Amino acid sequence: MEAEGNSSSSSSTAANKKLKNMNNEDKISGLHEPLIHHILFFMDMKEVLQTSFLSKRWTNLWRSVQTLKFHEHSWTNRCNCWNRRNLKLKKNKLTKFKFFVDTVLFLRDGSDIDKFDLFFVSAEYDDSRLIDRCVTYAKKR
Amino acid sequence: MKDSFNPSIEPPKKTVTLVSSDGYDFEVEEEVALESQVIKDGFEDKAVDDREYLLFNVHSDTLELIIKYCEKHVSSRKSISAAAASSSSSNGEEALKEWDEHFISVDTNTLYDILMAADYLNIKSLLDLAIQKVADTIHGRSPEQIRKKFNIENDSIIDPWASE
Repeated sequence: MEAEGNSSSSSSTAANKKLKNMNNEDKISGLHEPLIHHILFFMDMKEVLQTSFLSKRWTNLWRSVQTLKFHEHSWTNRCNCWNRRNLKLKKNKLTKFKFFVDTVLFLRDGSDIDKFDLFFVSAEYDDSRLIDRCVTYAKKR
Repeated sequence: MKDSFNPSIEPPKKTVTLVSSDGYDFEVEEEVALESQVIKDGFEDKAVDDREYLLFNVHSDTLELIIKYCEKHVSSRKSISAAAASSSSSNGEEALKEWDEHFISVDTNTLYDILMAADYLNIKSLLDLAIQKVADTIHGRSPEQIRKKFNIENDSIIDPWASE
C-alpha cells in the first residue's frame, strides 16, 4: 500500500477550523434512513422509542422500524425478588409493558415487518388476547 | 515495491488503484479490493490496465483504515481455510473477532466515516460491525447522553427529560 500525495497542504488555519467544525457536527442524524433502521434493528423497542426524543429528525423514525423486539425484561428488570411488594410492582410494570406493546402497534405506520420478537414469559391466561393481537398484526404484514 | 517480487518464483500480484476523495492513490491487491461488492460488481467489465477507482466519498484517512480491514480479513480467511485443510485446530476466527473489536474501537467521528465508507463501498461485514458498534453505543444510555455522545442538537418541542 502506498500513499502518493498530490493534494495541496491542508494545514492552513481555515482548513483546521473547518475540521474542528466538522468534528462537532451531528453526523449520525445525517445517515440515511435504511442505515438508521439498521442501527435500530439491534435494539429493544423501548430503546428505539427513546430515540424519538433525541430531535425532530428522530421523532418519527421508529414508526417504520421493521424489526419489532418487545422484551418484558426491559420493563421489569428491577423487580425480580418475589416478595409481595415487588410482586405488585412487577404486575404494575407488566401492565405498562402490555400497554406499550399495544400502543406501538397502534401508532406504527404500515411498514412491513421483517421480524416480530415478543418475549413475555410472565403472560397469564388473560394475556392471550394481547398475544393473539400481536400474532394477527404480524401475520398481516 | 515491485522490485521485491521475483517473477521466477511467483508472478507479481495484480493490483488495483483506489483514489481517495482528497486525491491520494492507494495501490492494493486485487483480492483485497474485491472485498467491496461495488468494486466486485463492475470489475469484469473494466480493462485490466485500467483498474482505477475514484472514491469520491472516501477520505484518505478512512480509506487507509478500510484497506487495513480488508487486508486483514483476506489474509485471515486464507489462514483459517489453510488451518481447516490441514485439520489443525486454530482459533483464527476467535482472533479475527478480537481484532475486529479492537479495530472498531474508535471515536464517534471515525466510526461514522467508516460506516459511511462501508455503506458506499458495500462491504457488508464491515458495515455490520460499524452499525453494531453504534447500536452498542446507544444501548443503555438516556436520550440526553446519546445527544451528547453524537452531538445531536435537541430541536424537538416535547422533551420529557427537560425538567429533570
